Amino acid sequence: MDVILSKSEKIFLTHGIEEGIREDGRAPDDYRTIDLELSVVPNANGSSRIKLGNSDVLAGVKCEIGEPDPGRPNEGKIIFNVDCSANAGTEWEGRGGDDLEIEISEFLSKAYSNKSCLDLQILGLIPGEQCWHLYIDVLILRNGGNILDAVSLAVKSALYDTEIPKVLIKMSEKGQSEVELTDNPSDYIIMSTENCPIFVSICKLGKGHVVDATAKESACTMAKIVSAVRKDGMITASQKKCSGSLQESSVLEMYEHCRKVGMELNKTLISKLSEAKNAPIVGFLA
Amino acid sequence: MIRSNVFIRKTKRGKILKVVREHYLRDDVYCSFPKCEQCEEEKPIFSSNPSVDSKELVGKYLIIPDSNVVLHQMDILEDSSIRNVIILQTVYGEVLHRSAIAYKKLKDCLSNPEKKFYLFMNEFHRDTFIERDQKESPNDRNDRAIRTAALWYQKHLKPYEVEILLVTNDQSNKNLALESGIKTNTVEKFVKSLKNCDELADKLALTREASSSTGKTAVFEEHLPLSSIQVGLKSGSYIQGTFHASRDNYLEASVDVYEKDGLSILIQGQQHMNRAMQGDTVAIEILPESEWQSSSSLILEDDGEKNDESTISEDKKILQDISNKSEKKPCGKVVGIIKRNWRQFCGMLQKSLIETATRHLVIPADKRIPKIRIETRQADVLDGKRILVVIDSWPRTSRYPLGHFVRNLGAIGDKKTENEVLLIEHDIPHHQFSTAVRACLPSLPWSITEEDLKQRKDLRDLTVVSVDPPGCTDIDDALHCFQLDNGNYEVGVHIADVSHFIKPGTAIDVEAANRANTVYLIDQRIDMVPELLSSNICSLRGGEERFAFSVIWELDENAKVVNVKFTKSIIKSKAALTYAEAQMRIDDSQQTDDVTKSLRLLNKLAKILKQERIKQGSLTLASPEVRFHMDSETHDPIEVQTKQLLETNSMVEEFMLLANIATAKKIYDEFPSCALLRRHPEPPSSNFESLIKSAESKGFTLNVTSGKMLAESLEKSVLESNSYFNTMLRIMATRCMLQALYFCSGVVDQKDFYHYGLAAPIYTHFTSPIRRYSDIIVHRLLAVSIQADAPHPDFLDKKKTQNLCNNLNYRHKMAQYAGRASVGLHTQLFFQNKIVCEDGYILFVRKNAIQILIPKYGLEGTIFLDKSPVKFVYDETSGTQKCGDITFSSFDKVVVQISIDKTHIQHQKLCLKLVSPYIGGFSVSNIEEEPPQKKKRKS
Amino acid sequence: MAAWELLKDQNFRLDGRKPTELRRIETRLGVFPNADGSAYLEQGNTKVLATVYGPHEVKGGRGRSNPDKAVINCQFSKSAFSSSERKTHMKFGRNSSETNQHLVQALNAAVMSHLYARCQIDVYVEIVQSDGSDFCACLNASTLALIDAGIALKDIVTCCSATIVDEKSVVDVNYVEESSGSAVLIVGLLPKDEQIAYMQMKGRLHADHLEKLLDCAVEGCRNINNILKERIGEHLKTHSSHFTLTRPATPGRAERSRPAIA
Repeated sequence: MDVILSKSEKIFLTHGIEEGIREDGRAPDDYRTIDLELSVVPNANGSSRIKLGNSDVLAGVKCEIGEPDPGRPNEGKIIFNVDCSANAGTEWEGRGGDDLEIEISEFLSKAYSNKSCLDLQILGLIPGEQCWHLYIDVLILRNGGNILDAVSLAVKSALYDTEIPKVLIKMSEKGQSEVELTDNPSDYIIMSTENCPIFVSICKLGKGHVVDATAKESACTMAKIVSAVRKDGMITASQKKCSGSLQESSVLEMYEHCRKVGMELNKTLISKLSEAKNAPIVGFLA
Repeated sequence: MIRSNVFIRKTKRGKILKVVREHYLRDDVYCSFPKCEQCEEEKPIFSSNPSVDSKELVGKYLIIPDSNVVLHQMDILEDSSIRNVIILQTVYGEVLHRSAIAYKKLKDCLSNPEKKFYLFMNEFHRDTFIERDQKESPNDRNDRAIRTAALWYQKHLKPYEVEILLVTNDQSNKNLALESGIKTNTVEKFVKSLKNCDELADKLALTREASSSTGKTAVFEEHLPLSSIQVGLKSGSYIQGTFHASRDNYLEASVDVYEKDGLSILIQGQQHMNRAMQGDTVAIEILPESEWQSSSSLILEDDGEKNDESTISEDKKILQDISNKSEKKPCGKVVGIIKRNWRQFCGMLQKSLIETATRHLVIPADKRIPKIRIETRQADVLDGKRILVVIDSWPRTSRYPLGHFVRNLGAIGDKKTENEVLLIEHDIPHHQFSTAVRACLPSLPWSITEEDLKQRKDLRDLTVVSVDPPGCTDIDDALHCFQLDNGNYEVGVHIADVSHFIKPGTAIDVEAANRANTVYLIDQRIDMVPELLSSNICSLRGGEERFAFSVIWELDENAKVVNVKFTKSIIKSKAALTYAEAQMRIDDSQQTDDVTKSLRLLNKLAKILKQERIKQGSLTLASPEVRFHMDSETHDPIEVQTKQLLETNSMVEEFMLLANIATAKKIYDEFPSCALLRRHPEPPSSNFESLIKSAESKGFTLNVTSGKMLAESLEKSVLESNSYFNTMLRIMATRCMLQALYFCSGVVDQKDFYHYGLAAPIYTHFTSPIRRYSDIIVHRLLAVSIQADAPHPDFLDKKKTQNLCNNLNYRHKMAQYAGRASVGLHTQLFFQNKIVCEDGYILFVRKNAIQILIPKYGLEGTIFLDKSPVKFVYDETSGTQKCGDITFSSFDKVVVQISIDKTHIQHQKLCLKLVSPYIGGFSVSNIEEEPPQKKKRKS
Repeated sequence: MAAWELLKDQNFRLDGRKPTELRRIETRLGVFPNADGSAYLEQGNTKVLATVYGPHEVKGGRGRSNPDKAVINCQFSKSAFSSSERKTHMKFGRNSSETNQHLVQALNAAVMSHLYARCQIDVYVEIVQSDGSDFCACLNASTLALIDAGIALKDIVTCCSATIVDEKSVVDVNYVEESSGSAVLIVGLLPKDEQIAYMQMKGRLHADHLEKLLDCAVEGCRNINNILKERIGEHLKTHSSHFTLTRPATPGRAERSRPAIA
């Protein structure tokens, strides 16, 4: 949600951050409270809802059988799709959210294109003919700042929650392979999501930089670096955003910062995921 | 309470979907025990003292059968001694998915208040629903659900001292039930504990354990599982079709392929038939072309019990010897069965040769069904009886299918029994009308009210007269005719207004729709609607005021229609005549009363109409029809006559045709997409091949390019020397025809509406609503068209109408078969103690037999040539059999001796023997010269 | 069709409901504090989020503004994972713009729009999960969101569907019932005056059945209305403090947190 701030409000905020004080009292490296819930959409094979401060994101994973890429006959595919719901505000009505949708989904694709993130081999079924397509649909219900990070958390959580139906490959007499469901409906495969990256956005306000900027902080941001960070600190994608320019040294500094925060956040998320898996589902009723 | 059902499903297009469905659990599912105080059931089903007539189970008992018991032992459950049964929803669901037949029977039990069967919705009950465990198979889960429900009932009814008996044959389920304290029993033990166990025990289906005798070698190839069949069908390596066993040859069958219209694959030998039976939906594999055979024109019967193993290779030899090398047809073999067409079969016991044996064979009445092996201890009782059996399974190791006894129908040869067999075998509903149906009938005395008079046209003053066969009590048509002042004629056809009494959706309507038509047997009529309607209130009896649906034309001098009106009316028939009576009145110039005058006018107009119709290309076909004269006391036939056709027959027919065509046009105009019409497709020219060949042998060329051409060329084919030749040709032509069909106008292309036999572009049935359901529908549609009645939603439902038509077509066909079978039965009774010599004509010459038609009795029979001591030579090109200087070809006149072959006491059949022309060592001499008792079949 | 056998014989629907029983309805008002009004509604497995923004200035040019009454603007969307088979929802497809117009039409009948002359009221609906009767849930959720936004309504417009199977009418149809091919009737009702604000039917239906079906749907609407009224009452009890304040018409209380209902 774009917030309109006056010049003095901006100066006030920026100065505070240069001093290490944020408007809501957090430290520069602190994230706001993250609410995590899994399996919120029963129709999806995996789903999650992340509330990061005032940002609210729903992610759903649906598995479908499709054809693999000719170049990668043994692998499945993952396809990202982001939808900015008009519920979040009038400016996303109609085609209002299109740019952001494309921006986020492209960045997700980029970040997950690294082979080490997800084992796509597991999604292969009949080489060259059939494989699983994982459609990862993200629905942004509310934008309260730092939506990118929230999306990445939701995606990783939804993938963690995903149960891919187990299928058998049967050979027909004519040598054609066929996909058949197993007799036991609770047979499924779970992918390892350990290495899925999460995004860390570092915003530079004046001389300081902060993670997880609120909507107001975003409005004062001169430059921002978003990195997709794996739990081991590896960065799989990175992007500089906003109009301001950065010196090489501050870029490196911010990278390092991303890595550090990202590793930390990954660790926390992974530990919370197993807790969330067994938690009762409340969804939107609470 | 609410929960979600989550499951993964594969769609037809191969997509794999996760499906989430809600599942509500309730607290208002009741136990239906009348004394129960917790439940608020308004109409409890069970008796308050539910006891089992058993030696072991003393006290109050409710019985819970598991799914397999319901699926396989329905004959036990159906027995009237089994009452107070809880059918769990779990069981109900499984039965619904697995067997349509068992499901139908189960539903009948549930709806019969006598049976006290209660469907307990355990899957919707808060306390009896169970979630499937991760590791549990769906079957195990269902078994557990059954146990849970049984336990619930047990606890629930404890205060009332009602106990629960779980009947299951599944050992592990039984053990688990016992562990949790539920009383269980196997079906066998349960039945044996009953007091009437002897009767019931034979009805036990042979369960798998009992029938799988280990150590036996497999006789047949294994059937493929359904999943591989589906894969094979998709890839095209297998073909799906309907299996038709040959009536004449038990080693031969054909499979009609679904996708390719008219393609039929020959299946030869039991090995290739691989346990498929008449009407089954099967998957077949086409054999390589080198193994293709031509269909043999042999007539073969399976004549005795054979060992399981040895015979099949022998069969092959027989077939190889006989199959000729020309005209090879694609052959195939059955690889799997997609859907069984098993039903109940009538048959006769063929007692085992071993005195003490309990396993016997049953010879089904339907020749296309193989013998069935059953187990019974009452073989002595059942010997010489007609019995009803059902097939349970056909394992690979058995040459014959395994089944069990259901019911004793009565003694063989007893007319009542044989009629019952006939009805069952032709799937004709013949049970008594239910109370619900009878409740729909108007109460007597029935009379016409003021209200009726307002809504109907009063035609009571018209000279209306009905003309029917003698003894007819269901008169559904009547006629009137007089000359108008302008010189034209007014002609009225009045049809019984049955639809006034049978309203859509009522019990009587549902029953009539199912029965579809009245079935006429020689000595019995199975009514479509109860007698009160068919023979009284609807029947247009002479001198009584009746409701009618009238079609009134103005016809000019040349019988051309000037205009036509339809109206609901009230008529009072002046006379109900027979064809002969009407004919006499017309011919008797002394009579000048109104009735006779109007008959003469009708007759005059009918002749013009007929001429016109024949000019249009309407076919006059023939089929030998006979009448039996019955002994008034024994009701046995004492004389046979072929039916005589009088002018008056065709007079009535012409006006009925006129009315039907007029109605068809009217309802089609009003309901273009949902009118019920009747079409008669043009037969493919290949059907006529044998007819053309036969005609050619006598020097006539038949033109079959159109109905009109055929009619004309049949007209010209008259042989001076053989007066019966033309009739025979027409009989043969009849057999080339396709069945006429009812259809819904919205599902067939308009160019296919044509009625070939009548040369009418559009046709329907309107004139016999008492005996045909199609006419009732047509009446309703017509009533709506003339705003005499309100429409019903179902009228506009194309799919429903077409489904209805399919049933009508099926029942129509079965009724025809049943009628023929009844004639056959009576012919047999007629010849029971007679030996008669009669003139006959050769209809067809086969490879090992000649088929002979005896016009006097309308009878057809076969004389086998292959087993004769004299050698016959078959010439395929000319279709003749030669023996010395005597040649048999079609249409030849012969003299035959007719008798009943009683060598098989259980399977009596008509036997023909050749008298003239005389062939030494083959023919028999005339009866007078031989003592009749010692007649032995020589052919 | 096998699925209907139970209904015919035992008066039970596939999911265990009786013909006249609604699915379970769960509601929550004020889901998104940043919006002027919002609501979440579950009708069985059909789950919908609705938010209301406004009344505010008319957007997209003066031309659209109406000097006599408010312009109601609806946008309906359906998330890709909401149904069994994944479908990317065409935001601007014919279907959604049709649904948008239907929502506008139904809400126009309920909102006292003359009170908001020259204003625009935005109603956004998002189907999170779909299991039949989507439109009904959308309209019901919109009504709740409008109430949450404090917009004056003539009546609580409620919506319910019904279908007919083998002469039996069933209310609040779920997806399986909806896809059985029978005609489905959707009615939006203003229960106080028994006015039908919205009506739509798809599929073939014989005119004789219409009355029965309409009665069934209207009865469903009344029942839903009673449930919603009760829920609104409960909500007011726990959140009454918000209603003692005069609510600003423009987004000003965006970030105020609210206690959740358990």
